[in-house]
Amino acid sequence: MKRIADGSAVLNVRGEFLPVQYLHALFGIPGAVTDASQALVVLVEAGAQQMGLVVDELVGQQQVVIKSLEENADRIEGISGATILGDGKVSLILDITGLARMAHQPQKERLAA
Amino acid sequence: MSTATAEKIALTAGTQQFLTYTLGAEEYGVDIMMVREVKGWADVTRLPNTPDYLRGVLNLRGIVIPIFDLRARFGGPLTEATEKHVVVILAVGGRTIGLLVDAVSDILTVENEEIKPAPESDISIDQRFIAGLIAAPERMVVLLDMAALLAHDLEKHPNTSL
Repeated sequence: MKRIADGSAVLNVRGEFLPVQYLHALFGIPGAVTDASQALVVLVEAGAQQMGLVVDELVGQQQVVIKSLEENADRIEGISGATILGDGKVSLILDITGLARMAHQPQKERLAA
Repeated sequence: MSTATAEKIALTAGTQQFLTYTLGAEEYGVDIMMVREVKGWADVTRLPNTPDYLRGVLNLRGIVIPIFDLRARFGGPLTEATEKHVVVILAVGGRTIGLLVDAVSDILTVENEEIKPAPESDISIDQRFIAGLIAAPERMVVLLDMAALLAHDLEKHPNTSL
């Protein structure tokens, strides 16, 4: 992973440079792994846009039924919905397009908006 | 109380019933018609970029509902929720939400004239959110206007959850 001028990071994936975003930074989550070499990067794409998302850990892969979050709560940027896991816990579903948009906007502006 | 008396109370126009719950030493009440159920605390899923008092979302038999920490909402510390804490599920303005409180205490039936307006000062909660006060023997119950509270929070954080 390389850093470029404005402090943002890029990742060389098979000869292509992809922007890298730290999910914990976008979501303001304390206590996450901040050293990308100790974390995992998930490559995601939305439309033509590809990016790497730095996460702590992969938990699993499964097919889920998406439930609306907006029915009782309101829209949250970067989250497209929720699902209920087998153990009854709620898991949030990422909105990759929304995350890419958030990444282009400094956090302060985003929270003030 | 005999059934006949209970019915008489319920049928009297001008009385209201409130479910009361406690936060520390304070007692709050909410219109019982808004209460859907009361359940024990269970771990919630935190929502990103939302105020602290929004503790997260919970699965309530297949629907996802937001849980508010009422103590934190009114400027107190976050409640250290344990299994003994209680979530009061309310229907407010077409939404279902949960309030994290310390305990549910009582159901009060009060005459409308027993509900007093809040005094102008000496109250930590914004006046707009107090629907009234009930003076019962040796205690006082604060009636919150949940609809106003949620509408206000929505306006303040238009991009986040309520």
